[in-house]
Order: sequence, then C-alpha cells, then structure tokens
Amino acid sequence: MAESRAVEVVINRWLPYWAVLQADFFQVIRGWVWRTWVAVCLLATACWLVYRLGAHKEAGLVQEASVFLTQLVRWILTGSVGLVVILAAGAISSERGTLADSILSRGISRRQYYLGKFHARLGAVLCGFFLISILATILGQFFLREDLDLKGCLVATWEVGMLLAALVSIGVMVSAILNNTLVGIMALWLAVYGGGAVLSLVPGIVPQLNLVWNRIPYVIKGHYSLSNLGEITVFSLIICVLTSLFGMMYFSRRDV
Amino acid sequence: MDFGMGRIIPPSFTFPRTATEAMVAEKTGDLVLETNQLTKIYQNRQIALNDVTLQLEPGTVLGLLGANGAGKTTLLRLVVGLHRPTAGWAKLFGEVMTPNSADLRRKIGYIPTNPQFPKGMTPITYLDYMARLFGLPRDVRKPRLASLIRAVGLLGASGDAIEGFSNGMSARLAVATSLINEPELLIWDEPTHGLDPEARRSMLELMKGLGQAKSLIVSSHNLGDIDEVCNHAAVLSRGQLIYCGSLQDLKGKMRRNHYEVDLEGDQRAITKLLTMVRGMTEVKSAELQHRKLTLHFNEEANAANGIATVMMALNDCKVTLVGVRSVGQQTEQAFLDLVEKDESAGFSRIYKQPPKLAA
Repeated sequence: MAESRAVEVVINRWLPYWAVLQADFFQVIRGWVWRTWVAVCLLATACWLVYRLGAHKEAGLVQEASVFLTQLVRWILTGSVGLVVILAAGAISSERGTLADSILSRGISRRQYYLGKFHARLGAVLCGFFLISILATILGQFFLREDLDLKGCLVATWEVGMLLAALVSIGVMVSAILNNTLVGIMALWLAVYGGGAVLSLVPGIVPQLNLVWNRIPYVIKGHYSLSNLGEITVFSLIICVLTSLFGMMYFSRRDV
Repeated sequence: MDFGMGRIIPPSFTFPRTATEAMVAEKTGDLVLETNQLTKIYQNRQIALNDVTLQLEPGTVLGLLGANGAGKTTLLRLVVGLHRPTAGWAKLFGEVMTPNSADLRRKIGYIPTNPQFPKGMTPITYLDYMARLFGLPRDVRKPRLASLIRAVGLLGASGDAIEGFSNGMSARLAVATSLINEPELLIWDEPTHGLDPEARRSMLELMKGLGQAKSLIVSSHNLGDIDEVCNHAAVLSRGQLIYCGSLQDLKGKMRRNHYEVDLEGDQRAITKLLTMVRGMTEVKSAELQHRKLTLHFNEEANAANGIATVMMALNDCKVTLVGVRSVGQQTEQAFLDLVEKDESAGFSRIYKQPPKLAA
C-alpha cells in the first residue's frame, strides 16, 4: 500500500484544457441559447421547405434547391446571429465570480481556460451550423429541383462557417475583456457592424462580406473559386489567431 | 532553516537586491507561503490590502481573522493567483504565484466563500471534472474521487444533481474538491459559513484532523472556530496585517481581568460575600445576578491573587464554589482589543513597527 502511494502521479498537462472544452461544450449544448438557436433554424428550414413545396405542388412553380438553400443560409447568418453573439459573448464573463474561482483555482492556466472556452463555443456553433446546413441540403436536394452541386454546397457551408468562426472568436475575446455579459453582447454587436462597415471601405485588402453574401447562390450551384475560399479561410484564421492571442494575454493579466 | 521563532516567521524578509540578499531569499525556499509587501488596490478606488508581509512554515494551521472587508478573501485570492497584486508578491513553495502558475496551484486545495458548482453535474462528474483540471490521469482520479465521496459522506447522493444540495452537502463536496489533488497546502475561505451546528462541528473535526498532516489557512468570521482549529493567527484590519503569530500569543494580549464565579449556598451568606468582595482592593467592581458573581479586577491587580482572595472569602462566608471562568471568548476578546487599538492608533499607524512574533 505504502509503495503504491509512493508512485509519482504523471500529470497530463493538456487534460485541464480538454476538461474545460468538454464541460463547456456539453453545457452549451444543454443550454437554452444553443437549443433555441438550433430549434429556430430547424423550424425555419421546415417552414421554408413546406412553403416552397406548396408553391410547387399547388401552383406548379419550379422551386430550385439552390435558391432555397441560399435563402436559408442567409437567414441563419442574419436572423440567428444574435443567439450566436449571446453564446460567444457570455463564454467567460458569465462565469466570473465564484464559479470561475472554482475552476481557475485548480491546476489550469488562464491560457488553457481561455482556449478551452473558445474552442468549446466554436465547436458548438459550428456543429449546430453544419448540422442544419447538411440537413437543409439533403432536404432541398430530395424535395426541390436538383440544381445543387455537392462541392459547391460544401464550399458555401465552409465559407459561412468561417465567418461564424471569426464572429465567435471576437465574441470570446470580448467576454474575456468585459465583466458584464450584456455589455459584452452590445460591444460585440457594435464590433460586428462597425467592423463590417469599416471593412467595406477598404476594398481589395480583405474579402468583402457583401461579395461573399452575393456569391452564395452561384457557389452552391458549383461556380466557386478556390482562391476566394482560401481568402476567406485565411482572413477568418487571422482574425481568430489575433483575437485569441489578445484575449488570452488580456485575460492572463486580469483579476477574475 | 531554524528560525527559532515558531512556525510563522516575522515579516523581516525584503526583496533581494544584491547577491548576498538573494542568498538569504534562497534560504526561505522551504516556506509554504511567503508574501512580501502584498498590496491590492481595486481599480484605483479601493485599497483592499496594504503591505502584507508574512511567512508560513510547513505544518502551520493559520487562522485568518478580520472583520467584513478587512481583506481576508482578497489576500487568499492573491495567494491562489485569482487576483494579481498591485504591488508586492506572493510566493508558494518558493515560486512566485501568477494567474498562469498551474503547477503551483496543483499543490493547493482551495475552497472559496460560498462555493458554486456548474449546473447539471453530480458529485461524481464534478469531482471528475475538478480532478481533470489538475491533470490527474483516469487511473488516479477515479479511485481518489470514489474514496473522497465516501469520506465526506456523499455516497448516497453521489448520483444526484448538485443543484438540489443543502449547504452542508455543498460544503462537504467543496471539501472533497479541495482534497482531490492531495494538496500540500489547504486554503479554505470561511468553510463553516452557512452550516448548521452539526455540520459545523464535523467540519471543525475535519480541519483538526487535516491540520495534523497538512498546512492549512482558514479564514473565518467565527473566532471560536479559529480558536479550536488553529495554532497560529493573522489578524487583518482594513487591509493591514495588525497581528501575525501564535494563537497563544494572541490570547496573551487580552486583558485578564474579567471573571464569572458560580456560587451555591444561603442567600444571606452570598450577600455577605458580595459586601466583602466589594471591599477588596484588587476588585474594581462586583455584581451579583442569580448566584453568579461577576468580578472586574483592577488593571494593575494580579488576577490570580484576586481570585485567591475571593476564594478565601467564599470559605469564610460558607458559600460553595460551583465554577470560575474568564469572561468572553478569549480569541474574540484579543481580536477585538487588537482591532480597537489599531483603529485608535490614527496617524501613528504610519510609524508602527510591523507585527512581530513572540518567541
């Protein structure tokens, strides 16, 4: 017994990061915000599909799956982005106080905590989005006019997913900086709209969001450009890396 | 290193500036905790902690005393790395604590005031989560959490949601959490807060037991708890450390001039005794209430002599002695005296020497 106690415990240094990621991911998925977001999106998909099918069956109008999918993806971006903002902006600030004490007083560094939270929120949002997109694609392909291109659909989904990733990344950074979740949500809204407005004034340097927006119907049909896809991916990754570095550094130096 | 001054070393350590001084600092490496001029000012608005310097040797059970807002929790949060000091530093096991010092925190078991638990977890999943936060592999954490759940008496509720737990059960879970990493130093912030007498009693017994094996810092409003569990005390008043030393020493600072004597016997005899006692030179005042004699001795009088004289008077008057006790909880009285003195010191506080530990 004494000998077994003397054996030194080998610490897994990445286990704390993984623990936070896993716990937060499941907590988000069990939470009302994520469930509302997914439920609203699924409901919108179903209603939109029924409406399109009705127009086709009753009036004989040809309903293209690409139009259906474009409208749906755009709706997810504009209509439900508020819930994504809430999810991201509350990542760290909502746990400030005694709950964060219980976690940050253990063998975890602030950097690992930040990364765990960021990746959990990112995973939850992207999982939800990809789930809805794949479902919508399959439904559109089966019930509406088959004008979808599989690769195009994947590219469009990826592009929108990258934009959501950038949004989540900025949101988690804001939640690490601010103490109050409501203030964080407001700040994130301002950052998203203000940032979008500023970006539209500097053409050529960064991908234009309105162009990405307008390209979606063509991309879905297969008219995509890999260079555009690369641009958006790189742009989103740069935002993710920069905001994460800033957020981590800031959070490492502040009180909780 | 033998300081010859008990377990808490007087705050004489200064930040090393020269090679010689650095060597002195190296010798303090075996300390569990060392703070130097630790100061915390919240957003340039509130001075929560001011120039706190203390040192703690292994095996110490330190009681952190202070009124509300004295800076106890701030001090503990600085030590654990939840706050960054505005000035000064805190070293644990010879290394400076920072928010990213995960390795240092693996040696600490911390219970915050009113511990909160994530929603939707059971004691098993929560302890597993906490153990993973310490980086403990599965083959270590699973047996450990099982024995801790059994030890704190949560076996029957191990599958229940924590949200439904009573204060006592939450406290027991917090204790188990603080022990999951088998820490060398336990830091418990008001562990008996909100507990019923039975739960408080078992918590105190647990602290006594743990104090035999580990270093322990306990902050509490309840001075009786500190009196029962700790061997050393640190007193904070308005963010400043006004005492740091053995609990025995702290008690020694109290005025020993207030006693209660329980009597039995004829009422006339007791009244006669009262008249005699009031005539004694050592006695400042004497009051009788339902056969309980309350005595105040003069400041300069020797309390032992005074008590002996009263005993003789009891014998003369044929009154039976049931009991004699010093009035007021000792630590509480000493604490209140200290705070009172500190508050009355006014500007002279600036020139006051830092608290010293008696040999």
